[in-house]
Amino acid sequence: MPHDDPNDPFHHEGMSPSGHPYRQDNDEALTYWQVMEIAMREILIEKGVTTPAEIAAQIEVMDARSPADGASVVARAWSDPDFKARLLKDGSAATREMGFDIGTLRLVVVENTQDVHNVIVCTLCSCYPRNLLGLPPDWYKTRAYRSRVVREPRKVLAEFGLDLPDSTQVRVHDSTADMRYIVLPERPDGTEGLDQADLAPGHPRQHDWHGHCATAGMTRFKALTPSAQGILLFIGAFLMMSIMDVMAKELSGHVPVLQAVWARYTGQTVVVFLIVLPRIGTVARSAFPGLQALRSLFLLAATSCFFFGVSLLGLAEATAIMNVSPVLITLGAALFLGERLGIRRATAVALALIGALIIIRPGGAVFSVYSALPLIAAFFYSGYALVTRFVGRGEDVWTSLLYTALAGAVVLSGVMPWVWERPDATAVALMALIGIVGATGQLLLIRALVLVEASALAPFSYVSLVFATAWGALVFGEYPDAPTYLGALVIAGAGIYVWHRETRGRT
Amino acid sequence: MAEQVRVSHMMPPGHVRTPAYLRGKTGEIERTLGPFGNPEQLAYGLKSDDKMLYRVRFTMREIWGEDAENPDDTLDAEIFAHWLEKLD
Repeated sequence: MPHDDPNDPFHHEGMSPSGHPYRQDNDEALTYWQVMEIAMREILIEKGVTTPAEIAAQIEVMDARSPADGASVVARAWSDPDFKARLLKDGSAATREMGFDIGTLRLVVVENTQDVHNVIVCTLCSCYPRNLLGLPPDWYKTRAYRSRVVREPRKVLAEFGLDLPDSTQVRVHDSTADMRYIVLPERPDGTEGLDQADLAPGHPRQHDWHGHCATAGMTRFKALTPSAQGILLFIGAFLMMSIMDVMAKELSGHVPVLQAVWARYTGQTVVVFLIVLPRIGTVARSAFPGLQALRSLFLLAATSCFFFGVSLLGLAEATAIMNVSPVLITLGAALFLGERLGIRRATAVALALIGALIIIRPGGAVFSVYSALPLIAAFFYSGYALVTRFVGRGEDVWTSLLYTALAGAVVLSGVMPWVWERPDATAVALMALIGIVGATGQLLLIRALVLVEASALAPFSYVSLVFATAWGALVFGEYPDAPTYLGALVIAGAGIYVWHRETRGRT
Repeated sequence: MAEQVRVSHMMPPGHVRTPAYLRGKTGEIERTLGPFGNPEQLAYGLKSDDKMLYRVRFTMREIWGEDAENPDDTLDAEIFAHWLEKLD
Protein backbone atom coordinates (compact mmCIF):
# COMPACT_ATOMS: atom_id res chain seq x y z
CA MET A 1 0.00 0.00 0.00
CA PRO A 2 2.21 2.81 -1.20
CA HIS A 3 0.04 5.52 0.35
CA ASP A 4 0.63 3.88 3.64
CA ASP A 5 4.32 3.24 3.21
CA PRO A 6 5.67 4.57 6.47
CA ASN A 7 9.01 5.13 4.86
CA ASP A 8 7.58 7.32 2.18
CA PRO A 9 4.35 8.95 3.17
CA PHE A 10 5.24 12.14 1.40
CA HIS A 11 4.91 11.60 -2.28
CA HIS A 12 4.19 9.17 -5.01
CA GLU A 13 7.07 9.55 -7.37
CA GLY A 14 7.18 6.74 -9.89
CA MET A 15 3.58 5.85 -9.14
CA SER A 16 0.65 5.57 -11.49
CA PRO A 17 -1.80 8.49 -11.67
CA SER A 18 -3.92 6.68 -9.10
CA GLY A 19 -0.97 6.63 -6.74
CA HIS A 20 -0.12 2.95 -7.02
CA PRO A 21 3.11 1.34 -8.17
CA TYR A 22 3.35 0.39 -11.80
CA ARG A 23 3.64 -3.26 -12.59
CA GLN A 24 6.90 -4.40 -14.07
CA ASP A 25 7.07 -4.44 -17.83
CA ASN A 26 5.48 -7.56 -19.17
CA ASP A 27 7.17 -8.42 -22.41
CA GLU A 28 5.82 -11.91 -22.54
CA ALA A 29 3.28 -13.16 -25.06
CA LEU A 30 -0.28 -11.92 -24.62
CA THR A 31 -2.50 -14.01 -22.42
CA TYR A 32 -5.75 -15.46 -23.62
CA TRP A 33 -7.72 -12.69 -21.89
CA GLN A 34 -5.55 -9.92 -23.29
CA VAL A 35 -6.10 -11.27 -26.79
CA MET A 36 -9.84 -11.45 -26.09
CA GLU A 37 -9.86 -7.85 -24.83
CA ILE A 38 -8.06 -6.57 -27.92
CA ALA A 39 -10.33 -8.58 -30.22
CA MET A 40 -13.43 -7.29 -28.46
CA ARG A 41 -12.21 -3.70 -28.61
CA GLU A 42 -11.44 -3.99 -32.32
CA ILE A 43 -14.84 -5.50 -33.06
CA LEU A 44 -16.66 -2.78 -31.12
CA ILE A 45 -14.73 -0.13 -33.04
CA GLU A 46 -15.30 -1.85 -36.42
CA LYS A 47 -19.02 -2.10 -35.74
CA GLY A 48 -19.15 1.56 -34.78
CA VAL A 49 -20.28 0.88 -31.17
CA THR A 50 -17.40 2.97 -29.84
CA THR A 51 -14.40 4.86 -31.20
CA PRO A 52 -10.70 4.91 -30.27
CA ALA A 53 -11.18 8.53 -29.19
CA GLU A 54 -13.96 7.56 -26.80
CA ILE A 55 -11.83 4.82 -25.31
CA ALA A 56 -8.87 7.16 -24.92
CA ALA A 57 -11.11 9.79 -23.32
CA GLN A 58 -12.51 7.25 -20.87
CA ILE A 59 -9.00 6.12 -19.93
CA GLU A 60 -8.09 9.75 -19.26
CA VAL A 61 -11.15 10.29 -17.09
CA MET A 62 -10.26 7.20 -15.09
CA ASP A 63 -6.61 8.18 -14.76
CA ALA A 64 -7.62 11.64 -13.56
CA ARG A 65 -9.36 10.13 -10.55
CA SER A 66 -7.14 9.49 -7.59
CA PRO A 67 -7.46 8.39 -3.98
CA ALA A 68 -7.18 12.09 -3.12
CA ASP A 69 -10.92 12.44 -3.78
CA GLY A 70 -11.62 9.74 -1.24
CA ALA A 71 -9.25 11.43 1.20
CA SER A 72 -11.25 14.66 0.87
CA VAL A 73 -14.42 12.78 1.75
CA VAL A 74 -12.68 11.29 4.79
CA ALA A 75 -11.33 14.68 5.88
CA ARG A 76 -14.81 16.19 5.70
CA ALA A 77 -16.32 13.30 7.65
CA TRP A 78 -13.69 13.73 10.36
CA SER A 79 -14.44 17.38 10.79
CA ASP A 80 -18.20 17.58 10.14
CA PRO A 81 -20.33 15.19 12.26
CA ASP A 82 -23.52 15.88 10.27
CA PHE A 83 -21.76 15.07 7.03
CA LYS A 84 -20.34 11.91 8.57
CA ALA A 85 -23.86 10.82 9.55
CA ARG A 86 -25.10 11.44 5.99
CA LEU A 87 -22.05 9.67 4.55
CA LEU A 88 -22.62 6.53 6.64
CA LYS A 89 -26.31 6.57 5.75
CA ASP A 90 -25.93 7.11 2.01
CA GLY A 91 -22.36 7.19 0.74
CA SER A 92 -23.27 8.04 -2.86
CA ALA A 93 -25.45 11.04 -1.99
CA ALA A 94 -22.96 12.48 0.50
CA THR A 95 -20.10 12.11 -1.98
CA ARG A 96 -22.10 13.79 -4.76
CA GLU A 97 -22.96 16.56 -2.33
CA MET A 98 -19.22 17.31 -2.18
CA GLY A 99 -19.22 17.76 -5.95
CA PHE A 100 -17.59 14.50 -7.02
CA ASP A 101 -18.90 13.05 -10.27
CA ILE A 102 -19.19 9.41 -9.30
CA GLY A 103 -21.55 8.40 -12.10
CA THR A 104 -23.70 5.42 -11.19
CA LEU A 105 -21.50 4.39 -8.27
CA ARG A 106 -23.48 2.98 -5.34
CA LEU A 107 -21.24 3.66 -2.38
CA VAL A 108 -21.38 2.10 1.08
CA VAL A 109 -19.11 3.67 3.69
CA VAL A 110 -18.03 1.48 6.60
CA GLU A 111 -16.46 3.02 9.65
CA ASN A 112 -13.35 1.88 11.51
CA THR A 113 -13.52 2.33 15.26
CA GLN A 114 -11.43 1.24 18.22
CA ASP A 115 -13.28 -2.06 18.16
CA VAL A 116 -13.91 -2.65 14.45
CA HIS A 117 -11.53 -2.81 11.50
CA ASN A 118 -13.03 -3.11 8.02
CA VAL A 119 -11.45 -4.76 4.99
CA ILE A 120 -12.78 -4.57 1.44
CA VAL A 121 -12.40 -7.25 -1.21
CA CYS A 122 -14.11 -8.49 -4.32
CA THR A 123 -13.63 -12.26 -4.36
CA LEU A 124 -15.44 -12.71 -7.67
CA CYS A 125 -13.58 -10.13 -9.75
CA SER A 126 -12.14 -6.71 -8.92
CA CYS A 127 -15.08 -4.46 -7.95
CA TYR A 128 -13.68 -1.23 -6.55
CA PRO A 129 -15.09 2.30 -6.13
CA ARG A 130 -13.23 3.39 -9.27
CA ASN A 131 -15.53 6.36 -9.86
CA LEU A 132 -14.30 7.84 -6.61
CA LEU A 133 -10.81 6.43 -6.03
CA GLY A 134 -9.59 5.72 -9.56
CA LEU A 135 -8.05 2.39 -10.49
CA PRO A 136 -7.42 -0.18 -7.76
CA PRO A 137 -3.88 -1.15 -6.85
CA ASP A 138 -2.72 -4.33 -8.57
CA TRP A 139 -2.57 -6.36 -5.39
CA TYR A 140 -6.29 -5.77 -4.89
CA LYS A 141 -6.98 -7.74 -8.07
CA THR A 142 -4.66 -10.65 -7.34
CA ARG A 143 -6.02 -14.11 -6.64
CA ALA A 144 -3.83 -14.27 -3.56
CA TYR A 145 -5.45 -11.22 -1.95
CA ARG A 146 -8.98 -12.13 -3.03
CA SER A 147 -8.84 -15.70 -1.83
CA ARG A 148 -6.83 -15.16 1.34
CA VAL A 149 -8.43 -12.04 2.82
CA VAL A 150 -11.79 -13.74 3.37
CA ARG A 151 -10.09 -16.74 4.97
CA GLU A 152 -7.29 -15.15 7.02
CA PRO A 153 -7.82 -11.37 6.99
CA ARG A 154 -5.65 -10.77 10.05
CA LYS A 155 -2.68 -12.53 8.53
CA VAL A 156 -3.09 -10.59 5.28
CA LEU A 157 -3.33 -7.29 7.17
CA ALA A 158 -0.26 -8.24 9.19
CA GLU A 159 1.63 -8.70 5.93
CA PHE A 160 0.66 -5.14 5.06
CA GLY A 161 2.13 -4.08 8.40
CA LEU A 162 -1.05 -3.88 10.46
CA ASP A 163 -1.22 -6.14 13.51
CA LEU A 164 -4.66 -6.02 15.10
CA PRO A 165 -5.32 -7.07 18.68
CA ASP A 166 -7.87 -9.84 19.30
CA SER A 167 -10.11 -7.25 20.92
CA THR A 168 -10.62 -5.59 17.52
CA GLN A 169 -13.26 -7.27 15.38
CA VAL A 170 -12.39 -7.66 11.72
CA ARG A 171 -15.22 -7.17 9.26
CA VAL A 172 -14.51 -8.27 5.74
CA HIS A 173 -16.82 -6.88 3.05
CA ASP A 174 -17.05 -8.89 -0.14
CA SER A 175 -18.35 -6.66 -2.98
CA THR A 176 -20.36 -9.39 -4.63
CA ALA A 177 -23.00 -7.34 -6.41
CA ASP A 178 -23.94 -3.70 -6.98
CA MET A 179 -22.36 -1.90 -4.01
CA ARG A 180 -18.86 -0.48 -3.82
CA TYR A 181 -17.15 0.23 -0.51
CA ILE A 182 -14.79 2.65 1.12
CA VAL A 183 -13.57 2.54 4.71
CA LEU A 184 -13.80 5.63 6.87
CA PRO A 185 -10.62 5.28 8.94
CA GLU A 186 -10.60 6.23 12.57
CA ARG A 187 -9.44 9.78 13.00
CA PRO A 188 -5.87 9.54 14.29
CA ASP A 189 -5.03 10.82 17.73
CA GLY A 190 -3.07 14.01 17.68
CA THR A 191 -5.06 15.55 14.83
CA GLU A 192 -7.70 17.13 17.06
CA GLY A 193 -6.44 20.59 16.27
CA LEU A 194 -6.58 20.21 12.50
CA ASP A 195 -9.59 21.36 10.53
CA GLN A 196 -10.94 19.93 7.30
CA ALA A 197 -8.64 21.97 5.08
CA ASP A 198 -5.62 20.85 7.08
CA LEU A 199 -6.66 17.22 6.78
CA ALA A 200 -7.57 17.36 3.11
CA PRO A 201 -5.26 16.17 0.33
CA GLY A 202 -3.01 18.74 -1.22
CA HIS A 203 -2.51 20.42 2.12
CA PRO A 204 0.98 19.69 3.36
CA ARG A 205 -0.35 18.65 6.74
CA GLN A 206 -2.47 15.97 5.15
CA HIS A 207 0.64 13.85 5.25
CA ASP A 208 0.59 13.98 8.99
CA TRP A 209 -2.57 11.98 9.23
CA HIS A 210 -1.62 9.92 6.24
CA GLY A 211 1.44 8.91 8.14
CA HIS A 212 -0.65 8.38 11.24
CA CYS A 213 -2.87 5.89 9.45
CA ALA A 214 0.17 4.13 8.09
CA THR A 215 2.10 3.52 11.22
CA ALA A 216 -0.67 3.38 13.77
CA GLY A 217 -0.99 -0.35 13.48
CA MET A 218 2.63 -1.23 12.87
CA THR A 219 4.17 -0.03 15.97
CA ARG A 220 4.96 -2.37 18.80
CA PHE A 221 3.68 -0.11 21.54
CA LYS A 222 0.14 -0.19 20.29
CA ALA A 223 -1.37 0.81 23.58
CA LEU A 224 0.01 4.34 23.18
CA THR A 225 -1.54 7.08 21.11
CA PRO A 226 0.37 7.95 17.92
CA SER A 227 1.40 11.25 19.49
CA ALA A 228 2.93 9.49 22.46
CA GLN A 229 4.63 7.00 20.15
CA GLY A 230 6.00 9.83 18.02
CA ILE A 231 7.35 11.63 21.06
CA LEU A 232 9.00 8.44 22.38
CA LEU A 233 10.56 7.74 18.99
CA PHE A 234 11.77 11.34 18.82
CA ILE A 235 13.36 11.08 22.26
CA GLY A 236 14.81 7.72 21.20
CA ALA A 237 16.34 9.43 18.18
CA PHE A 238 18.05 11.98 20.41
CA LEU A 239 19.23 9.21 22.72
CA MET A 240 20.88 7.52 19.72
CA MET A 241 22.43 10.80 18.56
CA SER A 242 23.77 11.44 22.05
CA ILE A 243 25.30 7.95 22.12
CA MET A 244 26.84 8.72 18.74
CA ASP A 245 28.36 11.89 20.22
CA VAL A 246 29.77 9.88 23.12
CA MET A 247 31.35 7.49 20.63
CA ALA A 248 32.74 10.39 18.61
CA LYS A 249 34.28 11.91 21.69
CA GLU A 250 35.76 8.60 22.76
CA LEU A 251 37.02 7.92 19.23
CA SER A 252 38.78 11.27 19.13
CA GLY A 253 41.16 9.86 21.74
CA HIS A 254 42.07 6.98 19.42
CA VAL A 255 41.97 8.25 15.84
CA PRO A 256 41.81 11.64 14.09
CA VAL A 257 38.39 13.31 14.33
CA LEU A 258 37.91 13.24 10.56
CA GLN A 259 38.38 9.49 10.65
CA ALA A 260 35.50 9.28 13.15
CA VAL A 261 33.35 11.46 10.89
CA TRP A 262 34.26 9.22 7.97
CA ALA A 263 33.20 6.13 9.94
CA ARG A 264 29.91 7.77 10.87
CA TYR A 265 29.03 8.60 7.25
CA THR A 266 30.31 5.40 5.71
CA GLY A 267 28.39 3.34 8.27
CA GLN A 268 25.23 5.29 7.59
CA THR A 269 25.69 4.92 3.83
CA VAL A 270 25.90 1.15 4.21
CA VAL A 271 22.83 0.98 6.48
CA VAL A 272 20.69 3.24 4.29
CA PHE A 273 21.86 1.51 1.13
CA LEU A 274 20.88 -1.90 2.48
CA ILE A 275 17.45 -0.62 3.51
CA VAL A 276 16.62 1.05 0.18
CA LEU A 277 18.27 -1.65 -1.94
CA PRO A 278 14.95 -3.10 -3.18
CA ARG A 279 13.97 0.25 -4.66
CA ILE A 280 17.39 1.78 -5.21
CA GLY A 281 16.39 2.81 -8.74
CA THR A 282 13.77 5.30 -7.58
CA VAL A 283 15.55 6.37 -4.42
CA ALA A 284 18.82 7.17 -6.16
CA ARG A 285 17.06 9.55 -8.55
CA SER A 286 17.12 13.06 -7.16
CA ALA A 287 15.02 15.91 -8.48
CA PHE A 288 17.43 18.45 -6.97
CA PRO A 289 21.00 17.17 -7.32
CA GLY A 290 22.50 20.64 -6.74
CA LEU A 291 20.54 21.30 -3.57
CA GLN A 292 21.22 17.76 -2.37
CA ALA A 293 24.94 18.43 -2.74
CA LEU A 294 24.60 21.70 -0.80
CA ARG A 295 22.62 20.04 1.97
CA SER A 296 25.10 17.22 2.23
CA LEU A 297 28.05 19.61 2.48
CA PHE A 298 26.32 21.64 5.18
CA LEU A 299 25.63 18.53 7.22
CA LEU A 300 29.14 17.22 6.69
CA ALA A 301 30.57 20.54 7.89
CA ALA A 302 28.20 20.55 10.87
CA THR A 303 29.16 17.02 11.90
CA SER A 304 32.86 17.70 11.46
CA CYS A 305 32.74 20.90 13.52
CA PHE A 306 30.66 19.22 16.17
CA PHE A 307 32.86 16.14 16.41
CA PHE A 308 35.92 18.42 16.68
CA GLY A 309 33.98 20.37 19.30
CA VAL A 310 33.17 17.38 21.49
CA SER A 311 36.73 16.16 21.21
CA LEU A 312 37.84 19.35 22.95
CA LEU A 313 34.87 20.44 25.06
CA GLY A 314 32.55 18.71 27.47
CA LEU A 315 29.61 16.90 25.92
CA ALA A 316 27.10 19.03 27.79
CA GLU A 317 28.71 22.34 26.78
CA ALA A 318 29.01 21.36 23.14
CA THR A 319 25.46 20.02 22.99
CA ALA A 320 24.04 23.11 24.71
CA ILE A 321 25.75 25.41 22.22
CA MET A 322 24.59 23.21 19.33
CA ASN A 323 21.05 23.67 20.58
CA VAL A 324 20.90 27.24 19.32
CA SER A 325 20.17 25.75 15.90
CA PRO A 326 16.33 25.74 16.23
CA VAL A 327 16.26 29.50 16.70
CA LEU A 328 18.90 29.98 14.01
CA ILE A 329 16.59 28.07 11.69
CA THR A 330 13.81 30.51 12.55
CA LEU A 331 16.17 33.37 11.74
CA GLY A 332 17.34 31.77 8.51
CA ALA A 333 13.78 31.02 7.44
CA ALA A 334 13.04 34.73 7.80
CA LEU A 335 16.18 35.82 5.92
CA PHE A 336 16.20 33.28 3.10
CA LEU A 337 12.75 31.76 2.83
CA GLY A 338 10.74 34.93 3.44
CA GLU A 339 9.03 33.69 6.59
CA ARG A 340 7.88 36.26 9.11
CA LEU A 341 10.17 37.39 11.91
CA GLY A 342 8.62 39.64 14.52
CA ILE A 343 10.36 41.48 17.31
CA ARG A 344 9.59 38.71 19.82
CA ARG A 345 11.15 35.97 17.77
CA ALA A 346 14.13 38.16 16.92
CA THR A 347 14.59 38.72 20.65
CA ALA A 348 14.46 34.98 21.29
CA VAL A 349 17.11 34.40 18.63
CA ALA A 350 19.33 37.01 20.28
CA LEU A 351 18.72 35.45 23.70
CA ALA A 352 19.68 32.00 22.47
CA LEU A 353 22.93 33.36 21.08
CA ILE A 354 23.57 35.11 24.39
CA GLY A 355 22.95 31.75 26.08
CA ALA A 356 25.60 30.24 23.83
CA LEU A 357 28.00 33.08 24.71
CA ILE A 358 27.38 32.48 28.43
CA ILE A 359 28.65 28.94 27.92
CA ILE A 360 31.47 29.87 25.58
CA ARG A 361 32.56 32.85 27.72
CA PRO A 362 34.60 34.62 25.04
CA GLY A 363 37.51 36.49 26.55
CA GLY A 364 37.13 34.66 29.83
CA ALA A 365 39.73 32.50 31.48
CA VAL A 366 38.28 29.25 30.18
CA PHE A 367 37.69 30.54 26.65
CA SER A 368 39.29 28.82 23.72
CA VAL A 369 38.59 29.25 20.07
CA TYR A 370 37.48 25.63 20.06
CA SER A 371 34.43 26.67 22.07
CA ALA A 372 33.16 28.32 18.93
CA LEU A 373 33.20 25.02 17.02
CA PRO A 374 29.77 23.83 18.20
CA LEU A 375 28.38 27.27 17.40
CA ILE A 376 29.80 27.03 13.87
CA ALA A 377 28.33 23.53 13.73
CA ALA A 378 24.96 24.98 14.72
CA PHE A 379 25.16 27.50 11.85
CA PHE A 380 26.01 24.76 9.35
CA TYR A 381 23.31 22.54 10.75
CA SER A 382 20.76 25.34 10.39
CA GLY A 383 21.85 25.82 6.79
CA TYR A 384 21.33 22.13 6.25
CA ALA A 385 17.87 22.22 7.83
CA LEU A 386 16.85 25.26 5.75
CA VAL A 387 17.92 23.69 2.47
CA THR A 388 16.08 20.54 3.53
CA ARG A 389 12.98 22.61 4.15
CA PHE A 390 13.45 24.27 0.76
CA VAL A 391 13.86 20.95 -1.03
CA GLY A 392 10.79 20.08 0.99
CA ARG A 393 8.39 17.40 0.06
CA GLY A 394 9.53 17.29 -3.54
CA GLU A 395 12.09 14.75 -2.50
CA ASP A 396 11.82 11.31 -0.96
CA VAL A 397 13.20 11.36 2.60
CA TRP A 398 15.20 8.26 1.72
CA THR A 399 16.77 10.02 -1.23
CA SER A 400 17.87 12.81 1.08
CA LEU A 401 19.14 10.34 3.67
CA LEU A 402 21.09 8.37 1.08
CA TYR A 403 22.70 11.45 -0.47
CA THR A 404 23.74 13.09 2.79
CA ALA A 405 25.36 9.84 3.93
CA LEU A 406 26.95 9.11 0.57
CA ALA A 407 28.32 12.63 0.07
CA GLY A 408 30.00 12.55 3.48
CA ALA A 409 31.43 9.11 2.84
CA VAL A 410 32.76 10.02 -0.61
CA VAL A 411 34.27 13.39 0.33
CA LEU A 412 35.94 12.03 3.45
CA SER A 413 37.16 8.89 1.70
CA GLY A 414 39.01 11.29 -0.60
CA VAL A 415 40.95 12.80 2.30
CA MET A 416 41.39 9.63 4.36
CA PRO A 417 44.76 8.70 2.74
CA TRP A 418 46.26 11.82 4.35
CA VAL A 419 44.44 11.48 7.67
CA TRP A 420 44.09 7.78 8.33
CA GLU A 421 45.67 6.30 11.39
CA ARG A 422 45.59 2.62 12.14
CA PRO A 423 42.77 2.16 14.68
CA ASP A 424 43.22 -0.05 17.73
CA ALA A 425 40.63 -2.70 18.60
CA THR A 426 38.42 -0.29 20.59
CA ALA A 427 38.48 2.23 17.77
CA VAL A 428 37.58 -0.42 15.20
CA ALA A 429 34.53 -1.43 17.27
CA LEU A 430 33.49 2.18 17.80
CA MET A 431 33.97 3.02 14.11
CA ALA A 432 31.82 0.07 13.13
CA LEU A 433 29.08 1.05 15.58
CA ILE A 434 29.01 4.83 15.17
CA GLY A 435 27.47 4.73 11.71
CA ILE A 436 24.84 2.21 12.78
CA VAL A 437 23.91 4.25 15.85
CA GLY A 438 23.79 7.46 13.80
CA ALA A 439 21.64 5.84 11.12
CA THR A 440 19.31 4.36 13.75
CA GLY A 441 18.89 7.84 15.22
CA GLN A 442 18.05 9.25 11.79
CA LEU A 443 15.53 6.48 11.11
CA LEU A 444 13.83 6.97 14.49
CA LEU A 445 13.64 10.67 13.71
CA ILE A 446 11.95 10.00 10.37
CA ARG A 447 9.48 7.61 12.00
CA ALA A 448 8.70 10.18 14.67
CA LEU A 449 8.10 12.88 12.07
CA VAL A 450 5.73 10.56 10.25
CA LEU A 451 3.65 10.20 13.38
CA VAL A 452 3.71 13.71 14.74
CA GLU A 453 4.13 17.11 13.16
CA ALA A 454 7.66 18.50 13.45
CA SER A 455 6.60 21.67 15.23
CA ALA A 456 4.89 19.66 17.96
CA LEU A 457 8.05 17.63 18.55
CA ALA A 458 10.51 20.53 18.54
CA PRO A 459 10.55 21.25 22.30
CA PHE A 460 11.46 17.65 23.00
CA SER A 461 14.74 18.10 21.14
CA TYR A 462 16.10 19.73 24.28
CA VAL A 463 16.24 16.28 25.89
CA SER A 464 19.58 16.14 24.13
CA LEU A 465 20.84 18.44 26.91
CA VAL A 466 19.77 15.92 29.53
CA PHE A 467 21.35 13.02 27.67
CA ALA A 468 24.58 14.92 27.01
CA THR A 469 24.87 15.95 30.66
CA ALA A 470 24.20 12.40 31.84
CA TRP A 471 26.67 10.78 29.42
CA GLY A 472 29.27 13.45 30.15
CA ALA A 473 29.07 12.64 33.84
CA LEU A 474 28.77 8.86 33.51
CA VAL A 475 31.29 8.21 30.75
CA PHE A 476 33.77 11.06 30.97
CA GLY A 477 33.32 12.29 34.54
CA GLU A 478 32.47 15.78 33.30
CA TYR A 479 30.30 17.92 35.53
CA PRO A 480 29.20 21.15 33.84
CA ASP A 481 29.73 24.36 35.78
CA ALA A 482 27.04 26.87 36.72
CA PRO A 483 27.40 29.12 33.63
CA THR A 484 26.88 26.08 31.39
CA TYR A 485 23.64 25.23 33.16
CA LEU A 486 22.55 28.87 32.95
CA GLY A 487 23.42 29.16 29.27
CA ALA A 488 21.68 25.88 28.49
CA LEU A 489 18.55 27.07 30.27
CA VAL A 490 18.58 30.36 28.35
CA ILE A 491 19.02 28.52 25.02
CA ALA A 492 16.29 26.00 25.77
CA GLY A 493 14.00 28.72 27.12
CA ALA A 494 14.43 30.86 24.01
CA GLY A 495 13.85 27.84 21.76
CA ILE A 496 10.72 26.79 23.58
CA TYR A 497 9.45 30.37 23.50
CA VAL A 498 9.90 30.50 19.71
CA TRP A 499 8.20 27.14 19.40
CA HIS A 500 5.32 28.41 21.48
CA ARG A 501 4.98 31.53 19.29
CA GLU A 502 5.04 29.45 16.13
CA THR A 503 2.47 26.89 17.16
CA ARG A 504 0.18 29.15 19.14
CA GLY A 505 -3.07 29.90 17.37
CA ARG A 506 -2.52 27.12 14.91
CA THR A 507 -4.18 24.48 17.01
CA MET B 1 -37.34 -10.42 5.16
CA ALA B 2 -36.20 -11.32 8.58
CA GLU B 3 -33.02 -11.45 10.14
CA GLN B 4 -31.66 -15.05 9.93
CA VAL B 5 -31.22 -16.34 6.38
CA ARG B 6 -29.51 -19.26 4.72
CA VAL B 7 -27.85 -19.00 1.31
CA SER B 8 -29.22 -21.67 -1.05
CA HIS B 9 -26.84 -24.49 -1.74
CA MET B 10 -27.40 -24.42 -5.52
CA MET B 11 -24.68 -24.78 -8.10
CA PRO B 12 -26.34 -23.50 -11.28
CA PRO B 13 -24.22 -22.86 -14.36
CA GLY B 14 -23.84 -19.36 -15.75
CA HIS B 15 -22.94 -15.92 -14.42
CA VAL B 16 -23.79 -16.07 -10.74
CA ARG B 17 -22.81 -13.43 -8.20
CA THR B 18 -23.25 -15.59 -5.12
CA PRO B 19 -19.79 -16.75 -4.06
CA ALA B 20 -19.50 -20.53 -3.74
CA TYR B 21 -17.86 -20.26 -0.32
CA LEU B 22 -21.06 -18.75 1.09
CA ARG B 23 -23.53 -21.24 -0.36
CA GLY B 24 -25.36 -23.18 2.33
CA LYS B 25 -24.16 -20.78 5.03
CA THR B 26 -26.40 -18.97 7.50
CA GLY B 27 -26.15 -15.30 8.29
CA GLU B 28 -28.23 -12.33 9.23
CA ILE B 29 -29.49 -9.44 7.15
CA GLU B 30 -27.25 -6.42 7.79
CA ARG B 31 -29.31 -4.08 5.62
CA THR B 32 -31.68 -4.10 2.68
CA LEU B 33 -30.19 -2.41 -0.36
CA GLY B 34 -33.27 -2.29 -2.60
CA PRO B 35 -34.19 -3.80 -5.96
CA PHE B 36 -31.45 -4.35 -8.53
CA GLY B 37 -31.30 -5.99 -11.94
CA ASN B 38 -30.52 -9.71 -11.76
CA PRO B 39 -26.97 -10.25 -13.02
CA GLU B 40 -27.81 -13.85 -13.96
CA GLN B 41 -30.00 -12.42 -16.75
CA LEU B 42 -28.18 -9.14 -17.43
CA ALA B 43 -24.95 -10.99 -18.20
CA TYR B 44 -26.60 -12.58 -21.23
CA GLY B 45 -28.32 -9.45 -22.48
CA LEU B 46 -31.67 -10.72 -21.24
CA LYS B 47 -34.40 -8.54 -19.91
CA SER B 48 -33.96 -8.57 -16.18
CA ASP B 49 -36.46 -8.78 -13.38
CA ASP B 50 -35.44 -6.62 -10.46
CA LYS B 51 -34.57 -8.67 -7.42
CA MET B 52 -34.16 -7.42 -3.87
CA LEU B 53 -30.55 -7.24 -2.80
CA TYR B 54 -29.43 -7.68 0.81
CA ARG B 55 -26.22 -7.33 2.71
CA VAL B 56 -25.87 -10.50 4.74
CA ARG B 57 -23.42 -10.78 7.64
CA PHE B 58 -21.82 -14.15 8.36
CA THR B 59 -19.47 -15.08 11.17
CA MET B 60 -16.13 -16.58 10.18
CA ARG B 61 -17.11 -19.51 12.44
CA GLU B 62 -20.12 -20.16 10.21
CA ILE B 63 -18.08 -19.95 7.01
CA TRP B 64 -14.85 -21.72 7.99
CA GLY B 65 -15.78 -23.64 11.14
CA GLU B 66 -14.12 -23.52 14.53
CA ASP B 67 -10.63 -23.42 13.05
CA ALA B 68 -11.36 -20.05 11.47
CA GLU B 69 -8.59 -17.53 11.98
CA ASN B 70 -10.79 -15.66 14.44
CA PRO B 71 -14.28 -17.22 14.63
CA ASP B 72 -15.89 -13.99 15.85
CA ASP B 73 -14.74 -11.86 12.91
CA THR B 74 -17.41 -11.33 10.29
CA LEU B 75 -17.87 -11.22 6.57
CA ASP B 76 -20.55 -9.22 4.77
CA ALA B 77 -21.66 -9.98 1.22
CA GLU B 78 -24.43 -8.79 -1.07
CA ILE B 79 -26.84 -11.62 -1.86
CA PHE B 80 -29.97 -11.48 -4.05
CA ALA B 81 -33.33 -12.48 -2.57
CA HIS B 82 -33.76 -15.53 -4.78
CA TRP B 83 -30.64 -17.02 -3.19
CA LEU B 84 -31.84 -16.59 0.37
CA GLU B 85 -34.01 -18.91 2.47
CA LYS B 86 -35.67 -17.43 5.48
CA LEU B 87 -34.95 -19.20 8.78
CA ASP B 88 -37.27 -19.16 11.76
